[in-house]
Amino acid sequence: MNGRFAANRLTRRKLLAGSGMTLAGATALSIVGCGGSDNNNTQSGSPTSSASKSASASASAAPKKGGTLTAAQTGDSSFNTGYPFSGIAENTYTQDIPVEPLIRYADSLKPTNVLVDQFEYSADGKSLTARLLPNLKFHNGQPVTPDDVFMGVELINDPAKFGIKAAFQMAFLAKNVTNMTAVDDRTMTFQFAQSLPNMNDFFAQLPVTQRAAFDNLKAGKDVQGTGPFKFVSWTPNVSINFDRNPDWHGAGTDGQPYLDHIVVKEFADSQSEALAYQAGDIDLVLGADPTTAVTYKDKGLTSVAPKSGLTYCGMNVTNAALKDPRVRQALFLAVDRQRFVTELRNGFGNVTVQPWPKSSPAFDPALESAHYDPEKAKSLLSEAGFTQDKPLPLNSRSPDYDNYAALLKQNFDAIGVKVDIVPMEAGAFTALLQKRGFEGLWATTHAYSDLAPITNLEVTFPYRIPNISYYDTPQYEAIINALKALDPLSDEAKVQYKAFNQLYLNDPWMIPMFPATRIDLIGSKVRGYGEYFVTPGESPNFAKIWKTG
Amino acid sequence: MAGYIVGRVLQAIPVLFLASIAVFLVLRLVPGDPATRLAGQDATPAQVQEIRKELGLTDPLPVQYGRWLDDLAHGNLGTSLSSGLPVSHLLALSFPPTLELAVASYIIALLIGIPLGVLAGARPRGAWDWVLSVYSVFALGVPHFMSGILLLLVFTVWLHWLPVGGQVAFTNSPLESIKYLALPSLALGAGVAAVLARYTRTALADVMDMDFIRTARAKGLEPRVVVIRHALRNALVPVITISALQIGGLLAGAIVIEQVFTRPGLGRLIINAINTRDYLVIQSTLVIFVAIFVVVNLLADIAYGLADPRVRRS
Repeated sequence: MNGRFAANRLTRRKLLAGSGMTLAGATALSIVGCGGSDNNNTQSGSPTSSASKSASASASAAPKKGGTLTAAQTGDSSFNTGYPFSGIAENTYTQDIPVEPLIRYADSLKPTNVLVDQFEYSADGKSLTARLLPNLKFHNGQPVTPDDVFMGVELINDPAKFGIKAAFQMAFLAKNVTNMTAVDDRTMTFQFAQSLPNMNDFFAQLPVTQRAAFDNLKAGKDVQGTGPFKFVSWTPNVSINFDRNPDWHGAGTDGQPYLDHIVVKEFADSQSEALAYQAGDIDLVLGADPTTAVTYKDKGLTSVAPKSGLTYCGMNVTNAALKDPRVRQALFLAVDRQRFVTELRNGFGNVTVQPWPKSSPAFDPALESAHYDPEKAKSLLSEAGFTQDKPLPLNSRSPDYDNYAALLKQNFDAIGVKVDIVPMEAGAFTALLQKRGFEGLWATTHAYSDLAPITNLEVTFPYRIPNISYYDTPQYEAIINALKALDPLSDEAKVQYKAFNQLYLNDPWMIPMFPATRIDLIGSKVRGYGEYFVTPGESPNFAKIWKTG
Repeated sequence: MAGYIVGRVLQAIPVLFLASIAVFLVLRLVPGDPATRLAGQDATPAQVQEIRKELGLTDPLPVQYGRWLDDLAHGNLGTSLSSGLPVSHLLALSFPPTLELAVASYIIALLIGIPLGVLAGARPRGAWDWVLSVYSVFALGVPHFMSGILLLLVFTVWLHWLPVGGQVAFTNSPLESIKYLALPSLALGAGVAAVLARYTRTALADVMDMDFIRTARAKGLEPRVVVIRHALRNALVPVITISALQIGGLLAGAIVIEQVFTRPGLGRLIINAINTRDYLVIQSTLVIFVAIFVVVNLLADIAYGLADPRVRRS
């Protein structure tokens, strides 16, 4: 355009004539455009039928092989921030589909072998011998070696060596590995600084990827794993594509996985995702908004993944207004958990006051109740002589937690405790969380309660010492120290879990709101959905999913 | 005219420089940084600080700014902290969908806006003038994202006529591309069309009162000829300027519309980058946006100067 301007010395007359031409051209293009649009009438997405049959319920029919599952995720994938060794929400599918760990928790804390046929600790618990499955290969046909397994441990211990800038929640367990030796092509030994009861948690979350392909993995070009589907391509902000792994070690007699392809479309937000699902463009949404999901609940098109943690309201116990345990207990009793589950979660999840899922040895059925008693809360406040010269700040990650914060405020107001909601953008909220900077109350979610309870208590922000609540009592420390030396499934450990659960009620530093559970939306043509693994990340078993039609 | 153009270009340079400083500083004022996100929610302050140091975020701000500017001057936009891909690669992937959207929206705006403005301006207070008023209220009153969602509900969720989101490059498959462009460009272009229509209507109505139009009518020319050949050509001068300036508005609107329609353009890129505090991606994308605004304004100024000699003389 500039060149044309310079060459022709454009006059006002020419410019006006030119604009007329532009208008005419635009009109012509528009006509073409409108024609194209009309033709689209025949190109509809597969409409979502009002399927009355549950996707999982019909899993009993013979699985059909082939087809493409189109799944949705919000946000863009991230391959150079520690993937696949750090779990971030944007990498859910890439975490679950192409890579696998040596062992996993399927439905309890008793591990099942995935990539190994031997996984044995020494009698003193200070070493581990693991042997890879025979002829185990990556998707590119290269053999999986002990060195590939070691890479994950090395990376978590020293991410900078691999050009990664990240922190890993399981680093404290990785640091316990003092030596790794390849005995032969399949067998490896790990030496530990000390016998830790939760090393299984580490290995159950340590995916195996090829060391030689790691640079390509960081660039999002290639992910080498052993999973049922192999990574094909990633287009930033558009999609990730996976193809069936025909040589999958777990194929079994019926030739799993059943699907030929999985396409994960990346959406900007959950609203766009929901619209695509409603339009029939999407077969699977992991982590749907409850207000969207409720529409499909009665049609059997939703599935709730096992609980991984808790959405809670934290309390800073050093705040003058919250120092007295009776005040904190009062706030604990003031929260109407039934309303949280019924009104804000649309009936997804259950009322609970414990972080533990049913698969946890710390789970106590008696704590699956509301513990809602505003009258007792008022009397506790009165007993404690509670007064306020200013409202307590209630920091909330906006917009996701706005509703939760509003209901908390209403509950607290009802017993005479004034709070001011302080909505914060996610990044700002996380920054304050990391600094342990909340002055009064805050609403957020923690995970990791699906692993060995001691891992949850050592890793997550609300529990570890020092924690975000500044809560640290001799009794609490004693429980944690005892659990550090106990088999998580032992009877001795269960005594400690009971003590913890009691402390949690009597001297609370956090107020449970509802269980952290993911709601999945399943298309009406999807079958075989409903089996989840505890690790990694309540992943659905993609190998068993198939589609009708 | 050459002096006028050179003057306008020179004025654009400090604008770009100041914009780069503003973009850089505003990002640093927002709580949370890339290290916060990379470290994860349960990271200790020491871990976050370590990552911050590795990223060079503990250096003084002028040093960080100078480093970025130096890289920019050498054509190096840096690497995305989130994806690990070169920022230039991400921009190359994201720019075409945004450009397609802006062009398609602009075409729709011209197609609706100019004819509607002409019809309304040719007979002020007539039926078309009333239509324009009603259309303007809706098109300007309903935000882009809202009209986008409504269009999605009707044409994709209920009627299943068009795809819900995504993009196909126009160069790969024009027809498919149009399917994906139809709704977002309509949502984005409708508001701009209202602006153009109102300007055209006002400009035309003014011209229609002038003596030379009365003369044309007195000569017995057909009303259509009077409007198109005589009145419209004179009325279009301010409309051209406004049309050019609307391109900037279209790019801004594209940020929102790309979110609604899941188009993998600059808008998606920038929103994702803001969420992940991917500084280099945000800085580079915003500077490109500013540059586009500046260039478009510059072209509008030049066009106006060409169209009206009084402007360049002043």
